Amino acid sequence: MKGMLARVKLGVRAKFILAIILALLILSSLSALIMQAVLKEVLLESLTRDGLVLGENLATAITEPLLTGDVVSLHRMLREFKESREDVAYLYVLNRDGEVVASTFTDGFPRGLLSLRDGVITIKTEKGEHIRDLTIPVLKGRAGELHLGLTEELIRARVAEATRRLLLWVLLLIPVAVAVGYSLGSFITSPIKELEAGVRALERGELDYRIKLKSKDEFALLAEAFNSMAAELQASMVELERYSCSLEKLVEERTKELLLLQRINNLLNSGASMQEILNEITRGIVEVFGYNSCAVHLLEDNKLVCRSYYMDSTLVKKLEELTGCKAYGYEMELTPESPISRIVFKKEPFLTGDIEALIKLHTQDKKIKALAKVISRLVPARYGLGVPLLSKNRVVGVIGIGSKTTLTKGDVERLTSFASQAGIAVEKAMLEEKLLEYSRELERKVEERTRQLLHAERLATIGTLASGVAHEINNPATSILLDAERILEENLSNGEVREIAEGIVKQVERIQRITRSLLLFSRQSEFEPREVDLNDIIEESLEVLRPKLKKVKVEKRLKRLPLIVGDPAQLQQVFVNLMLNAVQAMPSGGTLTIETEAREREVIARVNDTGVGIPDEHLDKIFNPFFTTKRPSEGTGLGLSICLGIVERHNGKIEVRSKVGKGTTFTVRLPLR
Amino acid sequence: MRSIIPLILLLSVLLSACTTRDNAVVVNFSDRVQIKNQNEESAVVIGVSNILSPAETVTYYEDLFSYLSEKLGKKVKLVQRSNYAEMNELLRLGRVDAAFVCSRAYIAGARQFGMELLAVPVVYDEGPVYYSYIIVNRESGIRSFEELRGRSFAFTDPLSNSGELYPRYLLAKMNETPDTFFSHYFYTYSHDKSIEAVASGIVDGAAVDSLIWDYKNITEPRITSRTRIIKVSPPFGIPPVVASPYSDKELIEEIRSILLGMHTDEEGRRILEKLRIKRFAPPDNVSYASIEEMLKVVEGNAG
Repeated sequence: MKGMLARVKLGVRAKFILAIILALLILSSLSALIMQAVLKEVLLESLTRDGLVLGENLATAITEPLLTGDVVSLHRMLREFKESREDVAYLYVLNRDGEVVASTFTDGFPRGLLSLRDGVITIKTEKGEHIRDLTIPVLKGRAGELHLGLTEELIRARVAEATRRLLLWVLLLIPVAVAVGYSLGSFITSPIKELEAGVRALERGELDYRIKLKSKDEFALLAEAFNSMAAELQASMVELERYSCSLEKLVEERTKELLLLQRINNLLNSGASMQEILNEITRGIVEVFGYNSCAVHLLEDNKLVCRSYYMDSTLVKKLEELTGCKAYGYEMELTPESPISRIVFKKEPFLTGDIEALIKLHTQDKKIKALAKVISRLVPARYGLGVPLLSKNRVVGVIGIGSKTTLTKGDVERLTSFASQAGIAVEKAMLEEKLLEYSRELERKVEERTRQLLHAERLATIGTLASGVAHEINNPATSILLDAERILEENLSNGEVREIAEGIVKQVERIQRITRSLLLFSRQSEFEPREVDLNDIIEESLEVLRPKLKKVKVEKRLKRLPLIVGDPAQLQQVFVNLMLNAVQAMPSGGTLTIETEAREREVIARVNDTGVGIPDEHLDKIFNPFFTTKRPSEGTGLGLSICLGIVERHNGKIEVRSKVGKGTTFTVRLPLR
Repeated sequence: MRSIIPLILLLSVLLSACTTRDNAVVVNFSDRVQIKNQNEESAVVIGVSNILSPAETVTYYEDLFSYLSEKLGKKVKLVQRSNYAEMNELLRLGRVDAAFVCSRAYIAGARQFGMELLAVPVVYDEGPVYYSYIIVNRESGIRSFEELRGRSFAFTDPLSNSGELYPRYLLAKMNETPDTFFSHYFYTYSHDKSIEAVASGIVDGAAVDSLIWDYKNITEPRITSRTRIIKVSPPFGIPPVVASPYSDKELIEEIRSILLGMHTDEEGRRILEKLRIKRFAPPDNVSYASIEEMLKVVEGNAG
């Protein structure tokens, strides 16, 4: 410590002494100079003023002697005035013509004064003395003027004396200055030494070293600053240690998070289902983040659907036992004012202190409310946090967690960042799921098509076969019918024969009906398309059926339709068939409703009855050939099959909806060009 | 520390500016000359006796003298003396060419050395006359000259008519002298001083020239308003402008004609108006008989 101070070249103390002496010398010489100048100025000013006042008095006094030419009195008055004041050098009086009338000069008159200007003038004599010449007009100059010469020497001597004394004082003050400088220097260096000691202590690592405050000056402030610096240093060290601990923890946490994300990705890659991935996310969040519960909701049709929920497994079981429902699968409506909506629409995290109230707010479902109550009882997770599950900045869902302890901004950041990672995985899983579903759908469609093709082929085969058979059967049947009719005509009186003949006629007519249908069915290939209005076709069909529509009420709701391309005869067959079926479905009467409407790419016709309806188990068979629920006398089982064939030939669709006891609706969709 | 240096420089420059301001005129006091008061031969010397105090005289006559100087084409010097006798002496010796004197001084001078009348001013409508006013302090309550008995009194000049002779005459008629009548009395040697003495209460009463009182009453009513005229004398011959018997007669005639013609030119009229003189008249109509009468009475009483 001593060594340090010894290195200082010129100590604070010496500097103080030097500075004080220098300042003293400068200040005193400056003040001496200023004082000299000012004092001289002031004294001369006052001399002039006094001289002017006295001169005015004298001028008044000499007015009469001057005017009446009383030279003796004038001289006497001038002399007396000069003797009364030691600073009066001379006096002289000029009359109004500028002639010297009287003066205090005894031996002639100084030539130089004759040419003097009026006013206040400083004169320097040949001996170097300074004299101030004042001109005082007598009777405003009407009578002449008085000149008063005042010597400045007395004043100059006094000023010089004052300056000398001041400088003497300065010399006397120098030792005092040295003493003051010395003590001031010591006064300042001692706190500096203390400070130095403090700094050394800090260097050695004694962070609890503090300087004792003695005075209340700037050094005290410095010491205070030092102490607070030391305290802060100490605090910083503690903080640093703590920070490094927390950093370790943070790294550990991050690692766990990363591992979790990796696990999720692995699951994704290994082809796990979305549910498995979501379950991994919820479980992972609870285990890695240390929350009490976690739920993943996915955004489906503007609703948040809970897809995975995780608590302690025992708790889940208990929960399911208590509520009788799965913890997931419930839906939450997204209303604009709900906090959950904010998460979805504004992508903002949402933090709440009352999770139960939040769940209640979002649902009317009693089951879910009960669930929330049970959850909050099982897991007292009062604090809730929801963050958007983001995939490429698109919200795919919400991750919600529950916690017994307060959630911080750190939790929000952590979960948000995790959610944005997990969101990608979830979205991938979702896409995969969709892809899978799509491929399944495709498979199903292929199967369907194959089935339809087989059906069509079978129909064609049957058609060809049936047409041949029908022809072959029709000729003998006609012969039989003719024979039977002749028998009947011939034996009208014979009851027994007539009865038999009538039976033959009836049965043959039935054979003919069947063969006609078969021929109609086989004529499917003859397709003669042209532009038609479906409404016309429906009207014609109704006309054909008029005799059979007596028992039912017919309602037509036909809208204007664009023309379509189709075979009017075949289409009429379709509607006649459908309407006939409808009438047959309403044996005790009802309402037959026929509607048409135009869509963008198709026209639609609906045939609705209020009949008995078709049982579910029959619904997928009704289009099969020869499938019928009717008695043999009423239908061949070929009607709907033919209809389907015609509609499909028109690239259209035919759909059926039915409810037993309520009625059936057939919808025919025919494409526009 | 370094910032002090320019400060010092600045101060020293300022100080040097203060101290070196020594633009003194050098006068060698050992180089002397003798002063001769040369009386310019060319100058016309006109005296004014101390009817007014010397300073007042200068102010009063300033314009008139410059007018004369201008008309004569010569320098005109105004000479004053402290009493009437001295002025008479200057006239007797011919040291002044002309003079404004008191009526009584003229009588004395005419008697002693043949002082000549040059012109007379006309102030009052009555002609070239004036009066003596006996005045008292307005506050004194004195209403008549008799009431001044036992009081103090101011005369102007021993050779004054209005300021000395008239009150003496009044006393003589009462068989009194100033010593017997007044508690004490003194001479002020000018009328304006007498008026001031009464106004300021230095003295109880005074006899003053009506011309001066009236003039003062206009120029300085503040003073005259503090006095009260208790007696007005009969008219006397007005104080004239006189000439020394030794004066250059031509010059005298010239002065006379200037004075008599003064009221005819504008500048002259303006000056006369200021002096409250109507015009200067030839001395033909002036009479100093009443003054001589009073002198006889006073001298008889004194004798």
